[in-house]
Amino acid sequence: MDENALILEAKQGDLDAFNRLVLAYQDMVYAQAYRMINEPEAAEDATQDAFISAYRNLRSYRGGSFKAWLLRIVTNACYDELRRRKRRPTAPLEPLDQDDEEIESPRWLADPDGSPEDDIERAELAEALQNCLQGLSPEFRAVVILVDMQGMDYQEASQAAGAALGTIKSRLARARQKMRDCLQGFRELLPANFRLVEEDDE
Amino acid sequence: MNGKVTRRDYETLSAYLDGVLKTKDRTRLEKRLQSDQLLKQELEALKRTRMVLRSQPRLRAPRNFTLTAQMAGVRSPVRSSMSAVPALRLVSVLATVFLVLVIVGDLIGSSKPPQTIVASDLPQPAAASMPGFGMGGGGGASSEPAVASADSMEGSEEQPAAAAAMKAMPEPNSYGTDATLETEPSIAAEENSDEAALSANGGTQNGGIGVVDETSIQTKAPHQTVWPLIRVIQALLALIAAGTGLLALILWRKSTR
Repeated sequence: MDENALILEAKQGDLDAFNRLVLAYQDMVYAQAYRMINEPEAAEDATQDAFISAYRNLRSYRGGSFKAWLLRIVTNACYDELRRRKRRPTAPLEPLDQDDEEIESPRWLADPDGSPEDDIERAELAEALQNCLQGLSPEFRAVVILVDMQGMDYQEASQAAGAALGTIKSRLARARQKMRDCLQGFRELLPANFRLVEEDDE
Repeated sequence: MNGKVTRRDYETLSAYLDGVLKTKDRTRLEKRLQSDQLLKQELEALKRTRMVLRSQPRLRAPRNFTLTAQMAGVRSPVRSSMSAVPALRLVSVLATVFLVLVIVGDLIGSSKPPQTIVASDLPQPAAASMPGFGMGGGGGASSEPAVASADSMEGSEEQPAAAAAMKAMPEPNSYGTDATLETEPSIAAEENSDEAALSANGGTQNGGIGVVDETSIQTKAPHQTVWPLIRVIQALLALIAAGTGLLALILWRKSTR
């Protein structure tokens, strides 16, 4: 896929070209929204809104990392959603099983290639991480997701978060420190090598 | 040195893990790590936290988020042309209604008898001035050539207007009187020059004696000049009605495919 060519065509109003970009980036954009909001339905809405907004504002894209530009749009959409929730708190919607019971570890997060035990452990760790992420302020959360979970470098993260490079460095360090403190409470869920080192430290 | 790990130390450790420290800062930190156990432990803890975060599988989107034309706010060409259909239909209907009105009005107008200049058209004073003449003989049905009194004709000035006015009289000249001639200028003013010229050359005139040619008088010229204009209007309205109606039908069929 020639990304620049697709962007150029999309800028000229080619919706099919834009939809090819959507298919290429939808997992990453959705992941950012889900990690930020921690609710599948709201994350879907934020993702869809972000792509609609991206298409309508494509002319404002002036080059650079398209991925970062997209992530900035979805991150801003998540900030808006979180602010809205703060004003009007609602109970989070958890996926339900066949008996209408809330699924603590959503199965759709599971890796289809792993064993059932691995799936459970992975799902529980994912949930623990999500809990710890929700303990961070949205700005810190956005940066740690961008760098440590989306694999962006500082420059891209700076562009995606709309913050200066020094701010990114500072927020990332604070966020990692808080995540480390939070994960101490989920030690039994952590991978074996992580536990061994933790135990050695004690 | 084993001291407290400051916030700035955490920033340096975090940047060191990501490999973004400047060479000078990295060398200084590595030297410090060799002697500062607490700092080294913090570095290890940060490294493990980062590893856990990075070990998370990438989430997959639960569905496709591709945009439809509606979502993107793009109007398809057919859809945009569809908005013109109601307007086209309205124009077609209005043109048809006007066409019908014009045709009906035209039919009503043409069913009326051709306008004639009869005694009643004359100014009242003139009609009143000859009470004994022409009563019941309207239309000048008399086929007899009306002979004007030679004396009276000679005694009057021969003006073109007067001659035309004389012809305009249904059957006046047989009884040409001074009273009649006095009214002629006002009547003559109503006659067009063509008619006057036609009368001047009229074969029914004999020796300056005014003879009334009924057909030339009865058929009014303005009626002939109005016809083409009405036809043009009718044709235009018919074209507009048919054209817009057809266009609306084509667009509607395209949209329903």
